[in-house]
Amino acid sequence: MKPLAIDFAPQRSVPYTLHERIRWFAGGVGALLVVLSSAAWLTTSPVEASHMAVAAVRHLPGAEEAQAVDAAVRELNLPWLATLDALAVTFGQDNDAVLLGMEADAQRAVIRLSGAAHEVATVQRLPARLRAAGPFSAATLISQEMQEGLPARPVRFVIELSLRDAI
Amino acid sequence: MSRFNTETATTELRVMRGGTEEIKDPPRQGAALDILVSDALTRYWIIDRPAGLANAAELDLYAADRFNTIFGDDPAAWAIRVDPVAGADRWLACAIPTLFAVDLPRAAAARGWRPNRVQPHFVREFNRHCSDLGREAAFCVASRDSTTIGLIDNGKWCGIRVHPPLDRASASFGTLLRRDCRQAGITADGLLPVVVGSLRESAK
Repeated sequence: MKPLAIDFAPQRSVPYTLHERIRWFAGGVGALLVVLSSAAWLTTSPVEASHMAVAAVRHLPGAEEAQAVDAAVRELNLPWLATLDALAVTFGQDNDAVLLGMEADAQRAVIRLSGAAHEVATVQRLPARLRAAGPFSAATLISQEMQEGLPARPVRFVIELSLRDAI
Repeated sequence: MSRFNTETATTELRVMRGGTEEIKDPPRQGAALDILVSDALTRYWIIDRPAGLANAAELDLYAADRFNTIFGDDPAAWAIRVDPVAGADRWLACAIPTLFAVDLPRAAAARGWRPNRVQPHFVREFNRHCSDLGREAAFCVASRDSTTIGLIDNGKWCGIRVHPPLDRASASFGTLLRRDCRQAGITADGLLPVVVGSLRESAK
């Protein structure tokens, strides 16, 4: 059985003693602090919170550090996935040309490709195929030469790609 | 007559059939005071849960009307309380004179006490022992002022009566219990009464 909720005592609106009033006041202030801190925690995004956490130890980077960071950011901002897709399409189709090397110049937003092909005509078609396949504003055949000791793919070439979304 | 018990953290003032003594000064300002009213001064009854009550004020009016019908007293001179248990068909109600419910706590507060509880004896003892009671129970408070028997059937209140104290009653406790059970429409066979109070030994 549950206890009986019967009590004839007059309802107290406020605590009588000063001691109790102080306790109620302290409890109220504590509850208010909990509510405010909870609200602040809920309204602060994790990113802001992490910034707030490291704000005390934050320091400004030096010139070299800043340049290195800028270069890394530029490199990260290049459209790598679209570029890799375009290269896979261009050099994986007929197997008439292979990609031997790739070098990125993030400062100039340029990618230099080196490869080998069966014949000169294939190499001549590559710039157009690359422009159609990827985010390149230009594809320029820089050089091509015949290698005597490589009968399978005797034509070596270098192509330079300019990225459309260059920094 | 009233008795002070200052051994516990909360001082207790017992209001007995004989009356109330002068209230003593509190040990410190704002000390808690429990006022325990004898069942001999309390009216108990059970009300069937009324349908369509809109608020607590309507329940108070309904309880006052039932009080007047059962006891014939003017409810204005009494403080009435109901224990409106949600889902229960029957509610326990009780009333004590406003002298003990209003005037006595006010006088105690004027002396520096903080009235904490004002409860009839049966209510206080029931709240202390209710966890030990099953859905079929007879709970009895046997004091020197009165003998109160409350009957619970299938978890519901089905009867409550206040008798004279056992040391002055014309009938034994078993007889009183059987009479109350008969009045409430339940059988006393197999009912193991829980008896508390200063005269509990007289119930055996």
